Amino acid sequence: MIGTNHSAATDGADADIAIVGAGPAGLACAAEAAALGLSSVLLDDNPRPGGQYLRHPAFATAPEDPLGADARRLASLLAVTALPQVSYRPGATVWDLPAPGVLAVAEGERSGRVRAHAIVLATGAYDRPAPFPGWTLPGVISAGAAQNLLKGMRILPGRRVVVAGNGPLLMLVAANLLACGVEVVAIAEAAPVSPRLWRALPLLLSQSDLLMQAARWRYAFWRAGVPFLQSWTIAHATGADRVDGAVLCPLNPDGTRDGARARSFACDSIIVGYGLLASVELLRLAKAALHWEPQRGGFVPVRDAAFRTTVPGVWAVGDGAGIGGARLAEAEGRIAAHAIATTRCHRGDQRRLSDLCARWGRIDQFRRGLEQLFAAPLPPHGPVGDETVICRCEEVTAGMLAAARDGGAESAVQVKAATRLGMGRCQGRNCLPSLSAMVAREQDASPGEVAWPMPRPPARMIPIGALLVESLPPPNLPADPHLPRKRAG
Amino acid sequence: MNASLHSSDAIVIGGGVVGGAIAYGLAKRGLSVTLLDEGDVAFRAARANFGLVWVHSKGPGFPAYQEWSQRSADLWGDFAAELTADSGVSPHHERRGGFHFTLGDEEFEARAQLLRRMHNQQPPGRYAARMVERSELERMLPNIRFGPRVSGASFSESDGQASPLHLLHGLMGACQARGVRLYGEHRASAITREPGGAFIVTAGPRRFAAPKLVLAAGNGNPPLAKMVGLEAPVRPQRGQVAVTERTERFFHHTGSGVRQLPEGTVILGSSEEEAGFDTSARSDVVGQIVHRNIQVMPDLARLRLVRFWAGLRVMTPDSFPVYNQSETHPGAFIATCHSGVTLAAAHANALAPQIIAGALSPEMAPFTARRFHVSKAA
Repeated sequence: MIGTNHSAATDGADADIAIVGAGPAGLACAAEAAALGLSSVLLDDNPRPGGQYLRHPAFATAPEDPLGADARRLASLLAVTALPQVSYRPGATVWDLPAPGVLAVAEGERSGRVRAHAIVLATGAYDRPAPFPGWTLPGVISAGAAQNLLKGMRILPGRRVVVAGNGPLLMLVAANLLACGVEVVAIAEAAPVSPRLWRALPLLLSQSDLLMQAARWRYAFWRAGVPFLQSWTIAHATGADRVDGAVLCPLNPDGTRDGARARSFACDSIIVGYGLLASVELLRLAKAALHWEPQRGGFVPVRDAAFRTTVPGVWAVGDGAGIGGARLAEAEGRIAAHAIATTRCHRGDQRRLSDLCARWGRIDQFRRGLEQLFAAPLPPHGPVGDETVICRCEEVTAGMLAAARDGGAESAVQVKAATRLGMGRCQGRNCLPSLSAMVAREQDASPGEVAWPMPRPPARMIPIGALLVESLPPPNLPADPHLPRKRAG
Repeated sequence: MNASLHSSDAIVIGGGVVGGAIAYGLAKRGLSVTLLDEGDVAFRAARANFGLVWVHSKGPGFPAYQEWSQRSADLWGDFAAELTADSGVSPHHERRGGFHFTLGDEEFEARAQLLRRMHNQQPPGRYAARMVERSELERMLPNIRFGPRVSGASFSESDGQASPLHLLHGLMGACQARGVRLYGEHRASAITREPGGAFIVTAGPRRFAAPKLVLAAGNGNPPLAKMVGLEAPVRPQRGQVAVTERTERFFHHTGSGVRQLPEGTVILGSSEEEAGFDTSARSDVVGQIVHRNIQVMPDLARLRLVRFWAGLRVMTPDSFPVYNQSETHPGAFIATCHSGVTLAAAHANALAPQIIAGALSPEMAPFTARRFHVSKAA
């Protein structure tokens, strides 16, 4: 195989690499793999490539905006989808890893299996759910959703907005809203950012352009007179059928709200962003070892230096393996491609690999700086109120969860069984993190110690018909499962 | 280590729907009951149960089981009401009749033959199921468009459905309301007998004593049974079930392979696989389940699949339940079956009184595990 320029995929596999997710990590992995002569299948459930970060043309800010430039550079990655070595399949939902090297894919007529020698999961992240009284009112929007509205559809979430949460994405959203002429009434950031800045500075200097950008945001908030409340959080949203105000509170050092010093702000929209969670549904189904890193997106996969997970043949890169941002995601995608080329046909480029690893190290330094800066207690910050819905799909309230726990359901697994929480269309992505945080608080444990219910396929809802196109053995189901059976064996 | 002995009138081992129903039945009649459960590591069959209260094809060649299922189905309405009153949790019981749909003439004819056989092994007027031809089926279920191969169905008004999860949750709540002491994370590891006659069960860090003992630990029963001179000839049998997103209620009856929950989700089932204790769900098997059901109701194909999963049935060699009292250790009982939902009402209100009386009734004699010795000899 060494020295050929052709795809190394043989023996019935669809490609050398199957990549799940066409955001920065997945696109970079496909690009690097193509340069190394490896073929890839790039599966993405969106109709267009780019993931959340490169959703449509990047939001138009000032022309000298370095983030805009970064986005433009990464946007060149979109061309990867046209390479002959890359089979790009948009609108494809990967819903299970039924066997080693095999992905179950739902994509209309082409539903079925994709086989590859290596699987790279670049599944990205989603907004961490942060329930508080009023969080389901119309007008309360997650930070990620607000970004999508702005970038993808050029829609403003409101005219007067309160921004509450934790982490760098929050500042980005607030700055974007401000640049669009939205009145930002207040920003509540859960971490005490400013006093930590000097200690984190040496790490943050490794990506000085991003640091400068953050400084410009802060200057813009100051000039516009936006209160930037640090160690503050949202207590509740007010309004009858839609949001008309937000009540913000300082955070006590133990992670609870200081209700005595609450302040109310009138607004028509609240943007809430308490960080992102890594999409690890496929990794859970594959029984990959996960560990708890709240600052990096909750449960994230255990990985080696080349981003291999504990499941043979499965790599995980980008925010879906631990929140690190687009730049880190790109580097990880490329490094994984090299590792796969090396194991697959000893075709790695050692020099290029060490350059990439050095680059990854610098970006990771910056990431660690941000982590120091933004470390904060996880939501919910105190009681959420009995009427507050925790599981939106099955309409399970905090009061129902408390009743189940009073009734003897102790673990998250038992509460799920007692209330149907997590059994709806989102598969628990938007409620199990809250439940595990609540159970952890009651047991005085870390959410990392709370066992989640067994993951069930499909990782995403799929049309029933997608199962019918699989090549199936002739049916051997019982005609009637209630009839007596013959003895086994 | 807590060496003190926790005493009660009865110990039930197994906190699933079988153990829960028996413990509830005992406590309701005034016994002090201890319910031991191993916790989340259990192969909780109730969590993967399809949720039928099903009579009409149960027990061909075993009239006692046919009668026992019918009796439980008849007791279910009152049982659901008292469970709701005691726990505040409704098991969502509905009894509107159940269909088993047939594809093609051959299946229809085979089903008709089965019904004749079932009919003949019951006293006249007792067996209620009948065959329904396609034209009548379409009149009975005007909301449903049937596939071209559907030839008809067997139908019985005896059949209904309940929510296994709500049943389990309600049983635990009702047990507590009736004073049952529930010990989760307490896996029973040893059973001995005091000279005075009480059973001593070691579970987790504690020891429990009671003159009556009920083994209802499903696939966990075999090692426990040996300790008290009982037999538990059971093996796990995997069954898989798929559930769709919610949709408007179109199916108010119930079906042997498809039912709709009151809140709108549709459950499709189910398979029978000999896979040991492996509970992994397999898309090829679920594909077959879906295939069969879409042939019956083609419009199901428009729904999206939210989840599928596998559970383990507790299966005896002939698939029928086992109920026994130990001959060497009187006071020790075993109850095991794969129809914990259907039989919950009978377990609480027909079996529990027999356990209190200290003897199983003569009509329970066919359920003895000794029947397997006979077949071996033959």
